[in-house]
Amino acid sequence: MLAEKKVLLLEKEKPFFFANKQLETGSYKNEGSLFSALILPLNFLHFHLVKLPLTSSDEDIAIQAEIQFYKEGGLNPDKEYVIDYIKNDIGEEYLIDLFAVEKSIFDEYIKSFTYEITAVDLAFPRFIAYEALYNEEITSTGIELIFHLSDTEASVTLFSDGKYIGHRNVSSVELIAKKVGIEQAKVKELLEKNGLRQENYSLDDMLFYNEISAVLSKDIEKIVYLVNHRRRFFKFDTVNVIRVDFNGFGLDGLDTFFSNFGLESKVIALFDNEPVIPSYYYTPILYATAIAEQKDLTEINLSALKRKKPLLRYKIVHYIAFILFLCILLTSFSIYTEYEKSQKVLELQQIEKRYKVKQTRYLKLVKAFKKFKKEYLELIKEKEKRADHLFVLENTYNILPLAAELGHSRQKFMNDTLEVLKKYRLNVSRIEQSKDQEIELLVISLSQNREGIAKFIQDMLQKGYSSVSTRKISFEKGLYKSLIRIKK
Amino acid sequence: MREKLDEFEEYFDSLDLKQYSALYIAAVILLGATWFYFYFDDLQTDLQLKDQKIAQYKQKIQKINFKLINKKILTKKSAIVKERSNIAQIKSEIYQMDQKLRAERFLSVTQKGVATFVERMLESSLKKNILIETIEIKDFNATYIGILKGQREMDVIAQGEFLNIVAFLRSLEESIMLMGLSKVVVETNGTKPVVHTNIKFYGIQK
Repeated sequence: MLAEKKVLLLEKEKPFFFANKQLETGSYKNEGSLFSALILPLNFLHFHLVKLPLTSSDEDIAIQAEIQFYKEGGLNPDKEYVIDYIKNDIGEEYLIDLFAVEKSIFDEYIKSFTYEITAVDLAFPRFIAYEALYNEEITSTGIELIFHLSDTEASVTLFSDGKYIGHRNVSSVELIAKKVGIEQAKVKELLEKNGLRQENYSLDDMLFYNEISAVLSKDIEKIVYLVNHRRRFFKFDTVNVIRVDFNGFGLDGLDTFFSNFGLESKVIALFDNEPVIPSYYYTPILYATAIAEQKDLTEINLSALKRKKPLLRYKIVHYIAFILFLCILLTSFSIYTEYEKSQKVLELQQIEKRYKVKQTRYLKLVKAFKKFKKEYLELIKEKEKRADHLFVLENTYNILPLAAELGHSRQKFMNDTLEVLKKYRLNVSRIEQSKDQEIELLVISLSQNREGIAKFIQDMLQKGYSSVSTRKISFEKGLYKSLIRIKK
Repeated sequence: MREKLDEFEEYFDSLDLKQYSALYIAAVILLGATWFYFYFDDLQTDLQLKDQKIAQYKQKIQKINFKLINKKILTKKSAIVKERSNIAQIKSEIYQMDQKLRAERFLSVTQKGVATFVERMLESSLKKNILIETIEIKDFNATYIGILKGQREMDVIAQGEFLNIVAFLRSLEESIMLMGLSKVVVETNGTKPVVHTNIKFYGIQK
């Protein structure tokens, strides 16, 4: 089904698009963003057919097919081509239909347009566009053949259940006219008016009919060859229906020609009713729309001026974006961790400050404590010193009565000594009293009175003196001399 | 630029899903590892160090016990007050004791006191018929008892009858001053006994 303003069909003079249920003329400048489609003239195309193993990947097929195209398909290695292929699984192998267009020819063709084209999204031969009809309008009867005949080109395309399986170029009206040697317009007129029925031709035109029939018969022979060739690969018996598109209409009498070559197929016009827009535009726009909508159609795209992908669709851009995303993610995390770090630094600074303040306060208190402790120790010392002083004073005071009695003590010692000396009539030549602790006497006595010294000693001991000793006793001239020491 | 992008795109297109995924995983690993080794690892160590320091400071702060130190200060202050009071008490007692000692007049060794002593000694010698040959007064400095110190000493040589000497010495000891005869030597050589005595005077130093 045609979609509104979906596809811009590029024609030489101007581009067209479907909108408001009709074909509208557009400008590439304004509608260039639409999916642009270009019908490639068949004479631009190179064809080739190869078979490749089923194990081949698409990449392998592309490479191998291209190599074989150059090697066997007659492509000039010095020229650049745009190549595409259609792959069909034929059971044991892939049957590859190869198509190529020379890039310089393509470029020249684009340049020949009356307007500037910057991108061609889809460049295809008209015959492949018929597949879109099976998708939309025609119910396939199995193997069908579409015969397309126009002024400038003609082809037959073989479809199996609406899927392309082969094609062949045949003579266009222009070519028929050239071969027959009459004007193109005359050929067209005759075909449109009389079809291919002999009885419709007047005697005057019968010669033309014979000539045209001869040309067409050769083409139909080619078509039958195509059918037989493809029959081997796709295993079908016959062509069920032949649909004819002669500028949007059928071609009366064509069935007889096919029948003559053994193709007893039903021959009908491609369109039962006129399409909403002229069939020349309808089929290609329908096909391009389906391709643009990525419907499951066989695609041949030989555009040498493909639209550049938007940057955002490049995988490398995705990859760079992913790396940037990772970088942003890591940077964000780094910023977060840096924030965490700064918080930690702040916390550390605060706690350090708090500690210093507390420590300073604490050290002040410790200093104060030490000061008090020192003061306390000094006070203890002072107290002890003063207590000692008090003790001395008290002792001094307590001992004063004794000190005052010192004289009495000495006197008593002396009196005791003198008393005992007198008792035993002892004389002394020397008395020495040291303090009140000791008296040393040099006693002199007559020999008959010498025992008095001993008694003296005894008496002094009896009086409680701790030690009374005598020494240096001498006897001289009838006198005893004795040094007596008395200790308290 | 586009050509380069297309080249890269072609390369990316040539990769299968596993290789394509591996590129993304490699980017994650490479960036992650670079970030970790060149940034996060050091940062983590730094953060750990800071955490440790914070913990250390917290521990130190916890150890600071104001209550205890204040209590100690208060205890010490009260002990100081107590000791000051004790010292004041002792001072007061010292003062009282000092006053008591100073009230004992005989504890003062003055010139006048010594002169009076000599005068009485001469009077006594006359009465006791003692002939004083020598009186020698000297400074004397020696601890006696407590705060009492020797302040003067006097060497006296005299002659007289023995009993008179004994009486004379006794009369000297009747002085109100704190004094003592530290040495008394009485000798006779057939003649009148000679006494040699050393008198020491004690008192409180002013």
